[in-house]
Amino acid sequence: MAQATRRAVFICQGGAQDQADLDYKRLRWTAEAQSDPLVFEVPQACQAEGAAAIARLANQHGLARFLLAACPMAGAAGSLEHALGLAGLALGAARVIDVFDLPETPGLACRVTEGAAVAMAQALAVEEAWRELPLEAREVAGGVLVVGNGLAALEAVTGLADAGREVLLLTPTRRLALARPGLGKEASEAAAALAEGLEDRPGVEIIRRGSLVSLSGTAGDFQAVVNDAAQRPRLLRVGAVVVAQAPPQAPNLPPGLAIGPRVVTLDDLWALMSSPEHFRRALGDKPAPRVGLAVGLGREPSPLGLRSACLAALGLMAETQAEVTLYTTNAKVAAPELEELTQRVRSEGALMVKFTQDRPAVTVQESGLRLRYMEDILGREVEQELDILAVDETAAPDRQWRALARTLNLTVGTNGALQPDQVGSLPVRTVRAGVFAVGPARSTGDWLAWSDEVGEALLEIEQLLGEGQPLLESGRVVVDRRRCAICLTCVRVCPRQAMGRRDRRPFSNPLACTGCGTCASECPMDAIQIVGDDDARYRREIRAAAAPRGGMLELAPPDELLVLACANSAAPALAAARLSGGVPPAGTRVVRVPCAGKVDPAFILEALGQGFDGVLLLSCFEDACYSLTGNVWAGMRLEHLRHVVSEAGFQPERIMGAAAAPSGRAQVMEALRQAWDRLDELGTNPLKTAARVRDLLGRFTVKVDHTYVIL
Amino acid sequence: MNDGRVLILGGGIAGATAAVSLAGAGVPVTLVEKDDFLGGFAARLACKALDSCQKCNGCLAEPRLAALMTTPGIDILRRAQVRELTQGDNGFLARVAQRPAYIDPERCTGCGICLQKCPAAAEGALRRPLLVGDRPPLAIDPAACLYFRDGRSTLCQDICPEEAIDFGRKPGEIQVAAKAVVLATGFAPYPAGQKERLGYGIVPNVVTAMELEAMLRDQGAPRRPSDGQKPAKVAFIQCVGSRERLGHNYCSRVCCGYALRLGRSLKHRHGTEVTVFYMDLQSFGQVPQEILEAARRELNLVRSMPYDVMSGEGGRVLVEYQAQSGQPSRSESFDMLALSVGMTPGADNPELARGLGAGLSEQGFLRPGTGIFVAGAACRPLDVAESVASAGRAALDALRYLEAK
Ligand SMILES: Cc1cc2nc3c(=O)[nH]c(=O)nc-3n(C[C@H](O)[C@H](O)[C@H](O)COP(=O)(O)OP(=O)(O)OC[C@H]3O[C@@H](n4cnc5c(N)ncnc54)[C@H](O)[C@@H]3O)c2cc1C
Ligand code: SF4
Ligand code: SF4
Repeated sequence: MAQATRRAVFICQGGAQDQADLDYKRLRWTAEAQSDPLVFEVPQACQAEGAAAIARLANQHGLARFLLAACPMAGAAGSLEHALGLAGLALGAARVIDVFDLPETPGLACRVTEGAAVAMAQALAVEEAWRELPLEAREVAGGVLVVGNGLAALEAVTGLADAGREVLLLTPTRRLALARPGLGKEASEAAAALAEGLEDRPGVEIIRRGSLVSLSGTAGDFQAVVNDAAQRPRLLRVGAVVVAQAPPQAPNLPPGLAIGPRVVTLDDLWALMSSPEHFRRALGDKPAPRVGLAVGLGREPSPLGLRSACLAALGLMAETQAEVTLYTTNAKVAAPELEELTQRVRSEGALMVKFTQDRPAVTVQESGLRLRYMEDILGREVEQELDILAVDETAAPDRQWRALARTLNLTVGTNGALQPDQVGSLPVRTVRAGVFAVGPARSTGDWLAWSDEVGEALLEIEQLLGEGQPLLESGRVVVDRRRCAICLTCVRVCPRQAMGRRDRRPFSNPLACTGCGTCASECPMDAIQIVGDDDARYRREIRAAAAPRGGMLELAPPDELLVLACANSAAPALAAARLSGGVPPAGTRVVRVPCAGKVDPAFILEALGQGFDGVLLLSCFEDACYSLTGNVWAGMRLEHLRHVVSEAGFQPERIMGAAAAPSGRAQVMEALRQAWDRLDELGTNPLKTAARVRDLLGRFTVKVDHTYVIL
Repeated sequence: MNDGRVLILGGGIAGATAAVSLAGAGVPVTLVEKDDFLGGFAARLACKALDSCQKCNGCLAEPRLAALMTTPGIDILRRAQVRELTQGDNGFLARVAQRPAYIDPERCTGCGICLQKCPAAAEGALRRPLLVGDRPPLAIDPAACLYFRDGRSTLCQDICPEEAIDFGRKPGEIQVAAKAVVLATGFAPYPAGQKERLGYGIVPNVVTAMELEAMLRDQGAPRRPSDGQKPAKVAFIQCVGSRERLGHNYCSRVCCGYALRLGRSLKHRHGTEVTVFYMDLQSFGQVPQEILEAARRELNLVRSMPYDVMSGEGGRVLVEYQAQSGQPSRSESFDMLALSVGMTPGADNPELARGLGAGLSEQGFLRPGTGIFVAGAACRPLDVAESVASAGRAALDALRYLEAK
């Protein structure tokens, strides 16, 4: 058994673009330097053969645990779990470190990522510190990890500590950043007050210049690996994560203009202003420097930029003799007091210039800048000279920001938001249950909204974690052990990332699961059922919804449309339509489903087999799904089913889909009308007669005795 | 007896969110709603989706409002207003006056016979709830009902098959003891009639954006009030009752967002030609750039504030504006004009501040006091998502306050 304690590293060869590549070699050297001779190079770990090779080697060497350096596919593909399971090894035996980027073109090899060797060294160090907790002992972890260094992060830490929770604050910087000066004095004072004595509060720990290495697990039961300033890794168990960090900012410049000695950002200007000495020198000791402040010359700005520019203008006019011009495009005054602030800037003597379509032509010289533009009010071209121009900044997600998002398994919006712009996640949820985005991590709005977001997130955390309870398999998702092939499709498709693994099996975390049923419908082995919402229930409801068919002699059976209505959107919209007097066309039967994600193709086949002339799946709009992606998966299944039935010679047009919002009473009525128009074109379902015959025979059989007729 | 209850004023999205959160944390709640029905303005907004969602976030309110009516531990008093609130050592004591339910919520089945026969139905004498599941299924609006005007008609009382209607019911009064109070009384859309030159109430087919929202929500299509026709050409005027130097000297935050989305939705779904007159377009949230770029492509955005609105031939609306300073003014005609009214402080705010010990901001919105928390648009102009967050904050603060007591 001595061998079991040895540390081993597998490196995926399929991942290396070139095994002579320096990055690849460095990766191997790092592994070799720290783990005896037990370093194996294996063929593609994401493929079955590669996985089998790993399992074989691990068995041969009696490895209870090992590291696998590969690309993200190796962990996700499922073949590894399968191979390990077959070899009788614990599924948790392999810890995959992502050190390869997937190739952009399929078929090509993956590339070793920058810093792969560092990641390898870290992972080996973590491996040392890693102690797997016995599963039975697991309880919902009460602690919370907060990532960020600004006002919102500090407010979150304080609020959590007030609630008696243990908090770990991970700040990317050394200082607990005080608010950006452009936010105003009030914000910096608030931040300073929050930071004061924070470190000494019981239950609060701060890791400065720290970084997040990984976050595994599910809500209430996350395992986070964080590095401190000295790159020393630590493993933590936390119940929830709050991200309050601001995405990186980039100067908001029009095309052709670049940052230089004469063109700076507003933040730079604030820095200059904090030292009158520097400010004077930077502007060539002019008694009355001409300062331009521009907000929105490039992309659409945010109220934050305007606030910063206005405050800078007021500061400059009060403390120096500067002549100030404020340039705006769409002045984003949509935040408290900003309208008044811009009025004050004007009344204190600043010149205000607004651009609608055109942008000024700027020439930068050593001695200053020259701006040429059409003046709307004067109606003629104007030339203006400046000594310095300060521009606002807008969010610009970079590689590092995306890496943070990837570590947290979150999405990144164009403005850097770590939250999808979707009703299912607003205001503060993300695509991963238990991970919240607040303040600058989710919005470009003004800081006054941040405190509300922190409050909402803290409330959600209280509801999620409660007083801490054993994390047992008490959820609504039941996985049939005999059927499950451990392909982990469910883990990949769960919209809320509620599916984790436990005791070798997929396990749905009851804290995070919303019961949307996507996993149940996607499971290729049909191994998953949702308690209370099982497939049998819906098949029963569909059968019950089929109209009681007339007697044998009735020639023209009525047309019937089955509507599968999402409980989050279409079902309330239908109810609302009825409330305002709307009446669905005769023959419309509605079965309510918890989410479109719950709709199994078998339901639709059942309905068509029962003689329904068409099936309409009414779900949320694609990007407004209350369970984020339940409807996307449903849409794909519908598409596939259409293909399958048309191969079998059945009209695929009878399978329909449409979207509605919960408030969309008119939308659902319109969708029903369109579906019925389609049915009118298609005529009667050819399976209807068979269904009628079966129905009549069924009744007949039941009456006579208890044997049944199979048709 | 004070059972550590929280009293919430206002049953809009903010009040609902706060109530559901507090009840979820095991705190008993009494929610007082002034209107006959729950939901506030968020329950009147239309979905603005094209083929895909436009992220207006209006429908964020729906599940939360539904939860208000099903979450145990919340006592809801509709048609009620706090008349007096006293604060003692043992918390607050509220005297709540409740208007009578002329239609009995227990008896009414919502059959709608009264609605069919009511001679003042067109004036809105009978109202349906905004939300599914709200009760009663119909309510009498004393402002429009003929009985309350001059005692002329008791028709509905006589014909209701369930005998649910009784004009003789008297107002009631209830005492509520609470440990904390959440003010979620919302906002008032700017009364557009105050800007006479914009023609609301004078020129036919000038509507407020709120009326347009409700029209789209209920009927799914825009209709001109004068003749019920679908307008082919619609204009929006922004900042109506916002950004006024003398008056509401602030931006209402939501109107650019809703007008651009309504405009695009009209264009996509009904082929309407849309013009938006504006000063500055406020677009933020997560797709500030994208929504503006799309609007620029599809709508006619004019940076100019019209100064006069007159009625033209055939119910058309003439809008006068100056495209650029120095240039002669122009007059353009539209089938319908929507005024993007801003969010102004609720009418009851001064009284609430005086009577309840809450503060008032310079603009007239509510500020918290000891044991008194403010949620939603009662604090300042907020959209639905922000109102939800703000209600979360208020509920959390109230919880902490209760714990400390
Ligand atoms: C034209 C227009 C369009 C809009 N479109 C959008 C949009 O597309 N997306 C979006 O996110 N937001 C939109 N909004 C904003 C949205 O309406 C508000 O964010 C939201 O309604 C605020 O909710 P609330 O609960 O704070 O207030 P309200 O909706 O005002 O609710 C307040 C409730 O309190 C009750 N009340 C008032 N006074 C008292 C009292 N004294 N005692 C007891 N009860 C009282 C009221 O009857 C009401 O039910 C729009 C606003 C307008 C004006
Ligand atoms: S109401 Fe608004 S947020 Fe909801 S689906 Fe419609 S457009 Fe999207
Ligand atoms: S949101 Fe737009 S329309 Fe509303 S007040 Fe602000 S600038 Fe004016």
